[in-house]
Amino acid sequence: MTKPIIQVKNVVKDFTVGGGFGKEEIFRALQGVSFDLYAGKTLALVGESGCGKSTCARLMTKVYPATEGEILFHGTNINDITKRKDVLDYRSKVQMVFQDPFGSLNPTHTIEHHLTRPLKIHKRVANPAALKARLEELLSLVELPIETLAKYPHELSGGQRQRVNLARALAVGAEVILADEPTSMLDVSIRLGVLNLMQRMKKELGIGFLYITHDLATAHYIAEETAVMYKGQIVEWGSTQSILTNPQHPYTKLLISAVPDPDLPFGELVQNEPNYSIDADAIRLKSSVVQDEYQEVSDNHFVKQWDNVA
Amino acid sequence: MASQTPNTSPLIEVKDLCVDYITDDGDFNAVKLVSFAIQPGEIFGLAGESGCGKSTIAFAINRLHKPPAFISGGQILFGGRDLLNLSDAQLNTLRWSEIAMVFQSAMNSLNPVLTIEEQFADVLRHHQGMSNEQAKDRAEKLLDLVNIPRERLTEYPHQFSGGMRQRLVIAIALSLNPKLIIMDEPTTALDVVVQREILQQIYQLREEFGFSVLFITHDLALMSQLCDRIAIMRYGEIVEVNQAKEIRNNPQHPYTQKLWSSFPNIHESKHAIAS
Repeated sequence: MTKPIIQVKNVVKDFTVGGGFGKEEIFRALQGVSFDLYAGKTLALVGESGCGKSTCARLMTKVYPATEGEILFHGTNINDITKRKDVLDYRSKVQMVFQDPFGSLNPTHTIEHHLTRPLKIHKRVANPAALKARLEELLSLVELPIETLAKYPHELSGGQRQRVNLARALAVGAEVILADEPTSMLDVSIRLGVLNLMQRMKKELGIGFLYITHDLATAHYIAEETAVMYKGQIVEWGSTQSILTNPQHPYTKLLISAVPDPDLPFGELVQNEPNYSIDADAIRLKSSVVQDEYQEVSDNHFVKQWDNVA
Repeated sequence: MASQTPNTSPLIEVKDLCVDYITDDGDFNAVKLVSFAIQPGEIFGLAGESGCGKSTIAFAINRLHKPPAFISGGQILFGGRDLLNLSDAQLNTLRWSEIAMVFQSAMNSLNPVLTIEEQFADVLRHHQGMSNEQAKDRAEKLLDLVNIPRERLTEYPHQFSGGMRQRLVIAIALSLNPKLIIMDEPTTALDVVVQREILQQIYQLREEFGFSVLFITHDLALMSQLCDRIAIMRYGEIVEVNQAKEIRNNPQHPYTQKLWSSFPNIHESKHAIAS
C-alpha cells in the first residue's frame, strides 16, 4: 500500500467561547479525529453543519493549530513547518476550494488575474511566454475555453467559477485539494459536470481529495472512502460502498434515510415512520456521547460503539 | 386526495402569466405564458434550474415582485377573483390570511429583537384583532403542531437552531389557516435530516388542515417524494406537467430526462435488491 500524503492522527480542537465580560467556556469541536488522504483517492467527510468537518480542513491548511494530536504531511508534523519558504511550499501543495463560488473570486479582477497571481507568488513560471502557455494549459485542464481569461467572475456561471477555483489550485501544483462543499451551491444539472472534473483530476493528475459535504448522494458518486462525522467524532468510516449498503451506526442509518428517494413518496413514509422527528432526536442524543471503542464490520469498514456500555 | 378529482374547481389558477424584467437591452421575459392550476389540498411542485423563473412566479402570485420586474400579461384567479386586479388594500388582507409564503432564508426573516410570542401576536392582532392573551393561546397551539415546546415562546430567534426557526416560520404561516402556502426552496439551506423532519411535518399538517402547497425546489428527487403533481420549468416556460409518479417513471420531455440523469441516486442499489 502506498503511503498517505496527509495523516490526521487523533486530532482534538478546542475553541474558547465567550470571554470579554462574559464567562469563558471551552467548546471541543473535534474529539480525536483520525483519517488518511492518499494520492489519486477521494475521502468524503460527511456530516451535518456544525459537526466539525470544516474545522478539519482549516487545521490541515494551518489556519489554526490543533489542540492535541498531530497532522503529518509526508511524515512531517505540519506544526514543524515554520519557515516562510516551507509554509509557502506546504500551502501550495495543500489547497482549498470553498463552497461559495461567488465569494471566492474577486469581482474586480479578470480570471487571468486570478490564475496569474498564484503562479507568480509561488514562482511557478520563469517568463511571460511560459505564463501564457501555462494559463492555456490550466484552462484546458478544467475544460474552459481560452476566452474565459479575459472575463470577470460575474460573467461566469457558478459551475464555471468553481472550475476556475479548481484551476487555481492546480496552478500552484496542489497534491491535495480540500474541497469544502464545492457543489452544494451549484444547480443539480451542472453539479455532475464539476464532480466529473474532480474525478478526472484525481485519476489523471493523481490528486488526493478531501471532499467535505453533507450530501451522501454526491459523496457516493465521487469518493472511494467515506467518514461519517457527528459532533466532532467520526462514527463510521471505510469503503463508501460498504457503508451505504451495510450501515451500522444509527446516525449513518439516519443520514441515509434522510436522503430523498424519488421512488418513496411521503405518503408511505408518514405511515411507516410517523415519529421520525422523535426517533431522530433519540439517535442524535445517543450519537453525541464520545466513544473510544470501535469494531471492524468488514474489510475496510469500521464503526464506533454507540450503546453506553455500563 | 383532491388531485384525483379533476372536476372540482381549482383553488388557484394561473393563466398565461407573463413576467418581464426591464433591462438596458430591452425587456427580458422571465416567465412566458405560464399556466397551471392547483387543486384544494394538493401539493404542486415547480422544478427547474436557478434562473428559470420559478421564484419569479412565486413572487408574482402574491404581487410581491419588485421593479424592474413587472407582470406584462395573464391572470391569477384565486377564489374567483383576479389577484392582478385587486387594490393594494384588498391584497393586504389576502396575504398571509389566504396565501402564506415561506422562503429559503425564512429563518432569517424573523425579527431578531422580538420574542417569538410577539411575532406570532403581531400577525394575529393585525389580521384577526386578537388580544395578547388570545394570541398567546393560539401561538401555543401552533407550536405544538410543529413540535416545539410551548415554554420557548418567550425566547428570541437566535436561541433556536436553523431547522427550528424554519419550523417557527411555518407555524406563523399556518397561524391564519391559509388556503395556499407558497414554499420557495424551504429546506435548501438545511441539513438532510432536518429537511426530512420538516417536510414530513408539512405533509402531516397538510393531511390535517387540507391546505394547498406550491412547492418550489431544484431537487427533483425530493419533489417527486413530496408532491402530487409536478411542473418542470426551463427558460421561463413549463415544459412538462404531470402526476409525480409519471414524472418519475415516465418522463416525456428530454429536459426532464436530462434532469433525472444528473442525479446520483444512492437508493438505487437498495431497490434493485428489493425488486
